[in-house]
Amino acid sequence: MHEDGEKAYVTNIQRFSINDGPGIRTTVFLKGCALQCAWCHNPECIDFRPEIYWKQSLCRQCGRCFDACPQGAVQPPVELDPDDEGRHYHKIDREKCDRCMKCVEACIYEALLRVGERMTVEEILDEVERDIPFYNNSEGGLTLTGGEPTSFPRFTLALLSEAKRRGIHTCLDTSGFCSWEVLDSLRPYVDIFLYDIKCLSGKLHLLRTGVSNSPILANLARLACEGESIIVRVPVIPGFNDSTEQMGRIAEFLETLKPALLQVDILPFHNWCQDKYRWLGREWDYEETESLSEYDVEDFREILEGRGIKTTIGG
Amino acid sequence: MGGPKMSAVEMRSIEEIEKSGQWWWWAEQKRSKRLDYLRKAVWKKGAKGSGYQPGVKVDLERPILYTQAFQANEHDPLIIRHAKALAHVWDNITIFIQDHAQIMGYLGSRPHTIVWHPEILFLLNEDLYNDRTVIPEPEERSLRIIREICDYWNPQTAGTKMFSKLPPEEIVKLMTGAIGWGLPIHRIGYCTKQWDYMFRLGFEGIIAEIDAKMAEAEERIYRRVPEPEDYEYYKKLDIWKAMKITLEAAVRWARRYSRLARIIAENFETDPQRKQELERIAETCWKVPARPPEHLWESLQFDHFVQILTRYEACDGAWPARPDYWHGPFYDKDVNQDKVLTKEEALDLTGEFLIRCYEVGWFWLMLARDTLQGITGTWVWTLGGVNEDGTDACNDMTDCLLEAARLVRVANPTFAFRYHPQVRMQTLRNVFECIRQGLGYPSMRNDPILIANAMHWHRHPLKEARRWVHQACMSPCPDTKWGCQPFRMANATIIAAKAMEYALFDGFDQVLQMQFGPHTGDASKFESFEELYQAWYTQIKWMMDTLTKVTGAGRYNSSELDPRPFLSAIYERCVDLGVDSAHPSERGNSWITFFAWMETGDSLAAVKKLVFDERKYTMAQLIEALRNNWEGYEEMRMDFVRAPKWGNDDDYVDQIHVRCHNDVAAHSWEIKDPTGNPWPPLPENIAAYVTNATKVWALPNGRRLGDTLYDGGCSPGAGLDKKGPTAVLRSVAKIDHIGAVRATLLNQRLNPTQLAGEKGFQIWHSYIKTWADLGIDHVQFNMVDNETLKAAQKEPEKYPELIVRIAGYSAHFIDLNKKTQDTIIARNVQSLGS
Repeated sequence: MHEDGEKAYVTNIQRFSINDGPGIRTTVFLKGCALQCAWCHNPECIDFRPEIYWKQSLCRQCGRCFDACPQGAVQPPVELDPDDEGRHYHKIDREKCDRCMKCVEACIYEALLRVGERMTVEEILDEVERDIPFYNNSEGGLTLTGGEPTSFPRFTLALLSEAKRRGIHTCLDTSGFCSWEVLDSLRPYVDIFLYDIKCLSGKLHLLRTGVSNSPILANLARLACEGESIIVRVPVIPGFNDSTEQMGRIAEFLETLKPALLQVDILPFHNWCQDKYRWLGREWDYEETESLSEYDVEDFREILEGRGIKTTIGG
Repeated sequence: MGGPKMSAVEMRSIEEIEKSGQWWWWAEQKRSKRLDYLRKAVWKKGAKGSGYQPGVKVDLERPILYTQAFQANEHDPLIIRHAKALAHVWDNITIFIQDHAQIMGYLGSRPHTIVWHPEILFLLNEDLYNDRTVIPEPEERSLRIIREICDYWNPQTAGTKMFSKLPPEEIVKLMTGAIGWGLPIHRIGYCTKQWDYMFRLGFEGIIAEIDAKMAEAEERIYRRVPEPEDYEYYKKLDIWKAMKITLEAAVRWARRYSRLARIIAENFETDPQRKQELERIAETCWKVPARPPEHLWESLQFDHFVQILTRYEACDGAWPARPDYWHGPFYDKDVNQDKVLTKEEALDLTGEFLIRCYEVGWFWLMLARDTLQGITGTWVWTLGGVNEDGTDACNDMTDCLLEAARLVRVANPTFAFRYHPQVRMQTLRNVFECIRQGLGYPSMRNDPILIANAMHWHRHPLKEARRWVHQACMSPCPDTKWGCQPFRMANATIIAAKAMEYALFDGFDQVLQMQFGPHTGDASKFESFEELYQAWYTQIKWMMDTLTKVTGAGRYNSSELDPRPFLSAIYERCVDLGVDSAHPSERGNSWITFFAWMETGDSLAAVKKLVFDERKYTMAQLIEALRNNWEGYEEMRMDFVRAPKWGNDDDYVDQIHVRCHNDVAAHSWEIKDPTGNPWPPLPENIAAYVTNATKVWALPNGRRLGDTLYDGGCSPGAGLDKKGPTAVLRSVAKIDHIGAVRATLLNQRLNPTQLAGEKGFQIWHSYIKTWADLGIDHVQFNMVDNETLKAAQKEPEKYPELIVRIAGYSAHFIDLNKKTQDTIIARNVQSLGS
């Protein structure tokens, strides 16, 4: 079981985020997720432990990492085709690697990078707090995402409650895959829930995300009953939920959530994250899948708006 | 009907073009036929890379006429000789009227010509003689004339005379570029114009004032027993006389356009509508600049005539203007109240007004062309701001100018917008639209901060401070009687990073291989950060002192060596006092331009961290590595590159920058210009971050000789800001933008996809409100994404109107050299999402 207490692994604190809730926000990414969505565009946030990126474009094949690795997990210097960009060659044997980070420390070109810093609530919020003047002028604030924040109920509770104490608006971006008790405990400290809905078909959901959608749907319905402010986010994934039928079912369900539902953000699939998969040395089924454009999801927007739901493309 | 063949792109709907962000196509579809013709008929006068566009030729009429008259009046006082020479040019140079044009006045005798002022600088003259691309046909004859003119002027150019006033060792320093950018001479000017004076009186009114002054002077020296101070009147009479000669000649020149328009209308024009236009042109040019304007077409014509006239006299490298403030009342009267002009007609006039500015060009020094990259001068027009009473000054002319800019898409002039909390929303949206459409302007200026700044440094009273315009790219100057500054201060420029180099090498210039700065000790033996800091402070103070002494002397001597009778005649102060415009009697607006400034704090922070805090390296190792330009020390260099850098909201490095700013500002008060004012720093770079790259040695921020310098005044180094735009603003806000700098330039690139639609405006507006709250004086945006820029590099012919920002102004991207293009691409696009 992973750690949930004073500290959590953070992969990124991204300031000037404008697509994750209202206004100008700072998005905090926690590392670790219970779901295994095949299309995941934050692959570095799935694993609960720190990981290592290797970027071929920055690597000069100097061999420092090879010399530094106590496990023999790093490949010796080799001549590579620069156009390959890490498609067919990986510097680190991830089976042998115990993530001691010796290679990262040895690298002077920032080609090897540690992903996941252990941080306290205090450390995170000291950074988040710096953009308060921007939040004040834009009704923005903190967005907590991941990974899956509800996988760290204690840490997430501490972080959100402290953020509220410091007067910062909060959004919680969640898959909703957790117990109601966890969500219930967070409710007083969340101004807006950014709630992901992927697919209404239980079987399909289980197949492509690794988990059942029934707690997710139940939790969402209950949040709506409690009158929480909710923005539902629907990733549109080719071959998974991009059919009129799937989208129609989602729209039908979401209509029942009004008036708690502030809006729906349609998030068209993109493959810009393919580099992250390469840096992590992982295969990705969607690498060859074309990114969707705004036009590709226009039908879905019409279905939702037809039911009187305020809809954006891209948040 | 066989209209022009439409290409596939042209056949797409306006909406499609708008969505694809191809704003140059969009503009072509949206603008009127007249504007389209005028925009396409314009000759681009900025130098492309280092050379001029094919077909652009130097005009020889102006130098021939000027020289003839100057020779013919040898026995006159200098200022009168210059006045008569100008009058001779204006009475005789070929004039023409372009089809569809409504605004007259051209610098040069033909549309494709650029002017050459042989009386400015012998170096310029020799540059021309050796530049075979701009010599008009027949070349042999032209070269013979140019040679004769060079030989006549070279011994007596303004530059020659200024050099004779300076010690040779100072001249050496000025020529290296480490200290000084160009010479402190009056004929290379940044001259704020006093429109309230000109519009109130017209030239005839000013002549009447001069006549009264001369009568009074003669009364005092010829009819009475003169008091000792009255002896000055002997000199002043010459100055007034010279002023009057130029004003009368200027009116005659304008009226030549009037006659020409009438001749065409009465004898040649067959189109009744155009005939009517020509008749109006004839009336307008008869009336202005002789008498005050009463309509928008008259005020714009008056304005443009004055701009052209001053540029016949000398090279005005800047174009200080506040066109919405001065033309706004005429727009309001004609369009909103009397309805004698439609909005569309006003838009056409305004678009042409911008094009007429864009087409102004002169032959200019090779060296300066490189730094200016694609434009004739840094022509920044000021919009928005407040009135003298503090209320919002935005008006319908502001909106008209912003709209016209999107339709004609010229790289020069650019706009800078004085933002304050009461700016009306429709204008703010209009500003945003220009930025969103990738014009690269307006830049945003924080009005309350800059008003306070002008009061703090140069003691302008509140009401006058509220009348400020950009004197050049950045520096606020009131356009009032005692505020107008007629002198270019940009000569007072240092490559500030050289002070860091000197501190590390005991005042020795590593690039030039000679002792330059004072001896501040062998840095390899420094035992504390404080020792290094003090060595640096001594060096930068020495640079500021050396430079401002030269500039002060230049300013003081210019009224004698290099008088400008016409410029003097349009300043109320000069007419009142009977002095040349260079005479330092205005309230003053001096500044020192700091090129390559932010390398200093980043270098100091890296040394502090790695040598004195962590003790990973010694000073001796560092000096050795730097001496070798980091060659063979790559691993060590990477440590210095990774040390904390400005722009990430990190106090470790930011507070060192703040200390440098405050200490330099403190020294500013200890040095005085001829008006008695301090010399505040103004960090910016234009395109000098590229041209100066070979002039600054390796530095402890990890930079090697030849690496591009940081491109702004307070911008982070390219790619060194890792935390996004909000962190950059938080860092920049740590500088005191009232008390520590005259202004400082911040470049920010934003991705157009972030700013689409209503949400895009709301986000940008929040950003700007916060930027203003944080007290930052400037920010400018480059809205073009990397994909576009890379595509433009590959196929420049497809992106002819792509405008990007490089410090202080815009240029067409395809005109820039490869290295500059690469730097722009290397800057962080502040993209969103992970």
